[in-house]
Amino acid sequence: MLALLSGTVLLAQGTAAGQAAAAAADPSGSNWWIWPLLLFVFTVVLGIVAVLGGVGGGVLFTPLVGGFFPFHLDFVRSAGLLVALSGSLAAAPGLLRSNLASLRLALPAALLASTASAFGALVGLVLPKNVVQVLLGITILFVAFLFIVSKRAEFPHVPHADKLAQVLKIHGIYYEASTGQTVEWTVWRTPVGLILFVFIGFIAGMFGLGAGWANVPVLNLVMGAPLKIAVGTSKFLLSITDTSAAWVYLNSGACLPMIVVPSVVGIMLGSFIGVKLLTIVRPKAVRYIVILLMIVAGIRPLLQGLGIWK
Amino acid sequence: MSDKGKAVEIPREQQVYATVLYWGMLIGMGLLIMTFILYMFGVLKPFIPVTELPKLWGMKVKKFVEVTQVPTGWNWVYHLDKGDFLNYIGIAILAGLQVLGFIILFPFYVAKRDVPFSIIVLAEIVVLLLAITGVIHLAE
Repeated sequence: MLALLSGTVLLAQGTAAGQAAAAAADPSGSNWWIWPLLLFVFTVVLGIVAVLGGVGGGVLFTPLVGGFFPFHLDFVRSAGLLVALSGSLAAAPGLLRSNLASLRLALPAALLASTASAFGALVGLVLPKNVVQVLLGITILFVAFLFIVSKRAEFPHVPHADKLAQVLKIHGIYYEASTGQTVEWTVWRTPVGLILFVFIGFIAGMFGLGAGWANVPVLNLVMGAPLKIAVGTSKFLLSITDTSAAWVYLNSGACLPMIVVPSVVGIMLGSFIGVKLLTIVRPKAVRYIVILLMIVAGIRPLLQGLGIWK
Repeated sequence: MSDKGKAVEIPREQQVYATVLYWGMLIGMGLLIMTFILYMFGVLKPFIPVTELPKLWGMKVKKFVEVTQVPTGWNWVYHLDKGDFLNYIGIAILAGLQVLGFIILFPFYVAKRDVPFSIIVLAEIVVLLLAITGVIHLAE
């Protein structure tokens, strides 16, 4: 797995210069299919690693594909949103039917996040490429830092539901298979949580990222939703947050099916394989790979944006 | 917090919404794969020849649109006879599925006289429609 990723990295070393050289060497464009094929193989591997590492594929897709493939970040961000959105849509029906994703918890957050993500997308399309690269690099390194240090609480203590949670009736019940019991939950600090979703939505739209890395800590640690509810609701929430931003990119012309379709199908296939491999792979080893990938994924656009690593 | 006796009841609107997402996802993904196969095998002539793509996909979108004259907004619907734009049907279904879900959800909350959630769902429909129809767009 690592060998393939390193191979892609090495191949992509010559992306910027290689793109011009390749176009000059191949004026007929007969080798056009190499990059979409590589993208498909790469996203299958990414899908496997993402599932095993417990992260959404979207957060790794945009910086890695944007950094190591010859596509402009505008097209990559659009594809990244559609990748995150499709993965979320695939999981959402099951999560909603098992009550592990809560509409009452998701909808208020989704309204704010999806509005902000549309404006994030507009800002992302206006900013110069190098500025977006630097900001994306910093964001991904911050996500890696969060991934390393953040703790999660399975059943956070919520002393009382706050006023807003009471008015919106944000509470629920789900079956916890590990204990054989049903768990009732509610949330608190709802206003703070909702404000944070504005920032999350903006960043998701601006950089074309899935936002599970931020949704889960806010729902779990800030608002006090049980971990399973936070993870399930976050996964579902992505499909709403990313919808509005995806349309801003689509309507502006930043959607190339040759990039989008191999990416969406590749990540889906990889996730499917990853789920099958979950029982036989050591999660700790995969976690280290994901952390390493995130650091590479953050450093690459940062150095590209600063003009140090073209 | 835990209770062995309580049954987990899934709200009716949540079940209906899940069913809409499930079928929409299947249809959208199926169409996406089928139209991409048609595109790859050149069954329909694309708007942008695939051999031209390596010269174009490194451009910022604004320049890409200028150079290729690709339709923006919803003008792709007039080019569904082109292999590349045919793929937009599946993409649009996947990216537009949530608004359909919300339109179906809205009457449930109204019938329950759940004012806060009726307003939230209605506002969400408006936001998504503004994005989908291109009202939220880059100024020239």
